Amino acid sequence: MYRVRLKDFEGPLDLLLFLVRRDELDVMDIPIASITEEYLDYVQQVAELDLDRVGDFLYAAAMLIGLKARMLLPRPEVKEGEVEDPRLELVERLLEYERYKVAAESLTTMQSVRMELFTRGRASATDTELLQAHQFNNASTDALLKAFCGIVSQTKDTPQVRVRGPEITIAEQRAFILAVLAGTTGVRFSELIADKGSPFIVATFLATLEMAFQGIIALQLSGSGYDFGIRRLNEAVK
Amino acid sequence: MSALDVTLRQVLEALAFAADEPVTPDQIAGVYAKVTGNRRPALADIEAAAGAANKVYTDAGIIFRLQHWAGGYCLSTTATVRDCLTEYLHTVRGRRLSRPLMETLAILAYRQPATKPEIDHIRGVDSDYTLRRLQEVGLADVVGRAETVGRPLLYGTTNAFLEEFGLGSLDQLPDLREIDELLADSPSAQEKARLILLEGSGPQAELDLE
Repeated sequence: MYRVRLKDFEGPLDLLLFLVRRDELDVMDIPIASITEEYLDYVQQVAELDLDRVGDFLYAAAMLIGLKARMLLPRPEVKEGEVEDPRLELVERLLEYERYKVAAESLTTMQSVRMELFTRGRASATDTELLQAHQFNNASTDALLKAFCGIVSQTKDTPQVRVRGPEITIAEQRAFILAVLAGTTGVRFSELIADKGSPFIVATFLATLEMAFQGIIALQLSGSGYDFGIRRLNEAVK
Repeated sequence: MSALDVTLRQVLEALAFAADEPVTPDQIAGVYAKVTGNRRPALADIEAAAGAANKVYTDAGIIFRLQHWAGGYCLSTTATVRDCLTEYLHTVRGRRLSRPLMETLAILAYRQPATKPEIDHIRGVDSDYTLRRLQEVGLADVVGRAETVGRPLLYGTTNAFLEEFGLGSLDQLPDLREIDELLADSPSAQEKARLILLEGSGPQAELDLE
């Protein structure tokens, strides 16, 4: 049996249709279990490679498995003695897809027949002229939109000056805290960071935590909860 | 204006020869009425004139045909001289469309105006790329917005599509119902029926003139 690859199929419906037709199955009575298995065989060939491309295939795989599960469950009666076939929707979609697939084939034939006929307008133009005129005459709304986007993206709107914030390291802030604490018994965190920017505050806070963890300083939460005190621990304790 | 002594057939041939795009029967009728001072010819008269011209060409072995494409008339060569022109132009006229493009185009042709979700659903895959590509090559375009929630864009085929596929109008597309009937039969019968259908479709009839 010759091997077909997933990329030969336009989408999950195309693959399913192929499996159904190859095995000459009755579209109205598709054996969901076996077709799901075959389907997954194909999908697994590439599932690991490119999730983007096989996304639609995986979605349909989930649908097939769901269908299989529903086939096993008792179904409510629609009319007396009649139960709804869960496969109906799939069958309808497959048949609908097949109609357009055949329609596409007949269009392809029509085009190749037409391709043998030359018109003067086209025949008189050289290839590049033809291409340009063609694109100009058939300017679609899409082309217009593209042109506009191109113009907008070309306007230089990017700032010419880049501002870089000062780099503050945790090590620097350790030294800073120690220096402050050298002349006093304790200091409030709010005093340390008064009038400073957020990089400074963050670095100082991280330095504080590090030093507290290492037992160099002790932290004391104040009553308000919006501030805390920092106290240098005795050399002896250290 | 002095009345010119030309026949409708001559006017039709002249316009079809000179114009780059198919000339509409309306334009032909207008020009004829103006230059001859006669009454405006009816659509059937123009059709008859085109038929008469093509018969003359066929009988005399002339390689031109008046084609009724995209709602108008234009002059084309027959398939007989295809190889000469391909050789001269160093290229095959037009490009074949890939399968995804052809599928999307078929859905569009039969269901237009159609929204993208509609097309996506039928194909079972996203049609964003194929729709854009069809617009780029001028075979499809936005034709409006649906009045449903979100007012999605509606897509349809263009006149260039009709010309590219040798169709006078959308009515000349092979009937989807015929396709349905084919599909109802067994695979082997399907194949046969498919061929019959293709033989009966538009451009093939033009070829039979030779």
